Amino acid sequence: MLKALFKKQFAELFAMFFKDRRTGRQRSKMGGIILILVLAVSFVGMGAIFYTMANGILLGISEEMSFLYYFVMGLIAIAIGLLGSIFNAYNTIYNAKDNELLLSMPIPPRHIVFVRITSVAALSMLYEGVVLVPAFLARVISKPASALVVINHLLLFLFVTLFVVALTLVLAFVVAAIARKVKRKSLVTVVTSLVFIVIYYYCYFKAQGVLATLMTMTEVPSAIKKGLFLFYYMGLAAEGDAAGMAIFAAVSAAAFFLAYVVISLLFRRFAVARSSTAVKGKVGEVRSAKPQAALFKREWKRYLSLPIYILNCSFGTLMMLLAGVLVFVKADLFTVVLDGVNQAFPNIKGGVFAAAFVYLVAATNDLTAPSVSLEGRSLWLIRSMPVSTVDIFKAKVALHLALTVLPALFMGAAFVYAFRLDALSAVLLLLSVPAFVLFSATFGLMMNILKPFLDWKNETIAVKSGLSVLVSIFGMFLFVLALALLFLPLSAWIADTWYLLIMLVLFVVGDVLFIKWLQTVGVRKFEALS
Amino acid sequence: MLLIRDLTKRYGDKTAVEGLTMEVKRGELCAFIGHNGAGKTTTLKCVAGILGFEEGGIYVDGISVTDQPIATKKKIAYIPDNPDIYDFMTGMQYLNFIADIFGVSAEDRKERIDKYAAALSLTEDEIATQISSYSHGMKQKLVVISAFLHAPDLILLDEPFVGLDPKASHVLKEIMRDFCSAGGAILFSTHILEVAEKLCDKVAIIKKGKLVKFGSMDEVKGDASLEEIFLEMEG
Repeated sequence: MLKALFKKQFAELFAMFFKDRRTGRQRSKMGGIILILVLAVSFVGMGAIFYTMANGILLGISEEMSFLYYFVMGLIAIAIGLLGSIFNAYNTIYNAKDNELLLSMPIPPRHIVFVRITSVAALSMLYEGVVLVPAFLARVISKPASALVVINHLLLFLFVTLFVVALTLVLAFVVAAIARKVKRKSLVTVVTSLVFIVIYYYCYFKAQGVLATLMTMTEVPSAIKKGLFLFYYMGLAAEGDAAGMAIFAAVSAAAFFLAYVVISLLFRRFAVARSSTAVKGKVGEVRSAKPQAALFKREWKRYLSLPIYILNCSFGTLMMLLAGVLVFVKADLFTVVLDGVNQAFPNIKGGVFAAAFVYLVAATNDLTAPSVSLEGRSLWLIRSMPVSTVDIFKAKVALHLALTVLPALFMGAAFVYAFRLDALSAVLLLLSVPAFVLFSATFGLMMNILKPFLDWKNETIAVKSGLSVLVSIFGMFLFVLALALLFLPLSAWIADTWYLLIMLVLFVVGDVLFIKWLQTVGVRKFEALS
Repeated sequence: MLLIRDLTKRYGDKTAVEGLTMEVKRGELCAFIGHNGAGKTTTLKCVAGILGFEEGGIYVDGISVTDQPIATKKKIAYIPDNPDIYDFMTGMQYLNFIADIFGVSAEDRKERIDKYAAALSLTEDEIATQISSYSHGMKQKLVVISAFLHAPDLILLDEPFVGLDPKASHVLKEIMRDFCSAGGAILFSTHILEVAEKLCDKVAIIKKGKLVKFGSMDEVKGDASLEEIFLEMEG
């Protein structure tokens, strides 16, 4: 029975190599091999970065502080393993579509959980391996390594994985428990993802300072020995300390076993709850709106219901707000950068510089690029409604504008303040922002009408893959970069304000052309979709 | 109410519907039957304005579907064979969306939702629930309610009884009959020949994209059963 479960679970895990997620069809052998090679190259590339980092640490630490090497590398591996595994664990264990099917069969729930955990562990091992394998290689190549060091490194790979899986199970359980209680499950995913991103970057920036301090020390601080004893022993184990290895192994195994037992006991309640505790709205709520508003509300509701859409296509909104605050608070930082640019290009005043910043961040929002694909199999519905195709397009573009224009203007205003731009430059900059946002929104929609993908089984594929998304994001980036870089040599002849005016005119002309295309060719192509 | 004249629809080289002509008048309930892939769904989608077509014309209440798609869509309700609707909405949000698009007043939509939801045994709690948790049958009931929300003149249904429980099927048949008695027209595809025989005034049989029999139920089947006629034609 377990064998059959393992076979199913790992077939699911490795399906991406054998099946095309977009079409659901079997990949060709060559396609599978290419994909494996691409992934292998990516992992080797990341491994090379960690190898360099590991070597740097090995060179910088004293003999007394040798535990620090694996203390740092192990913690990085744990952080990466956690980041990579938490949502995988949530989806694999609590949100799997076949939970009810498996529970209806004569399989003990603990077996289902065990097999699912093994799948989570396998993926987690892959993430940790990116750090721990180079760490092992760096250690044995740069310093003499006893047999115990080698054995302990291999054991640590296993027990670090157990430790990460135990933590992952607990965190995924918390996410599942919160998701059960709140009306908007997507909000939980979005907030959790953002919290992890913030924690990651906070730790990343903090860790560099802490590491530099630790590397200058010759004695282990008591805060580490007592407060972070588990990782201290992990560090000692990697240097061949048998007692350290035993302690770390015992704690990790116990944590894993405890998490496994608890999750097994609670599995049925959580796994089945997914379908039986449906989210409810207000009973009998009848609200009317005009057709155009109804179309916008439809786009808005779809947006709010899809965490992957929120995180992938409107991350720029958050970035622009944060960047705006940063520019206001740390105006000096940006003026220093501008001064640096001025040394090579003295005529640059800051207007174009600021505009390029705003456009670049605004271009990370690509809400229209997958918006046609997201109609998916329910495209029939909107096509059978008495609304014009242009109105459908307007609603899609309006969602993009609603989430992008104001934050972009805020960021633009922050630059106006930081660079003390003159009135004319300020007006031109602030006028060009909405023109650019409309330009990128209509461009994204155009791309998606030209390259839609409607036959998806999971919205993630519509949002993340597809030529339209790729072309929209990178096309806009390259376009803005080209505009900004072109100004560097031209700044000797064209004033900042003139170039801002040229960009404004360019965007307005682009807007008109793109809208015209959408109203004619776009309508025809959209109406031919089925 | 519905006039299809010489309709030809092709998918690349393949002709899905060829030279199809038929008419459904006000008050008529017309069954559309044929084997899988005969062209029923394609025809219904062409009438609903979802698919374009190469030749011929489709007129709803005298208005061309090609020339005035919005005007004709306002008179039509279409229910597909597979109710792929917005999982990200609750049932009520979906009904509100449909009603907003068709400009149905708050009073009318409330009255109609209450009426049809009660008839189809879709509770208030269920309507307030996210569509993603609906069964196929519940989605089908919701789509049926949405079809009647704007009081259309013509309803197109593609396999409407699939997934419905016996009671809901019975109620839907009554609703369909009442709708036609009140002056509406219905064209629906089905594989359940007994239902077509008992319920409909007219029947259209399509084979490999061509209409092979069309007329009143009595004209088409004579003394035989519809099943016998259908099987005979299928060879």
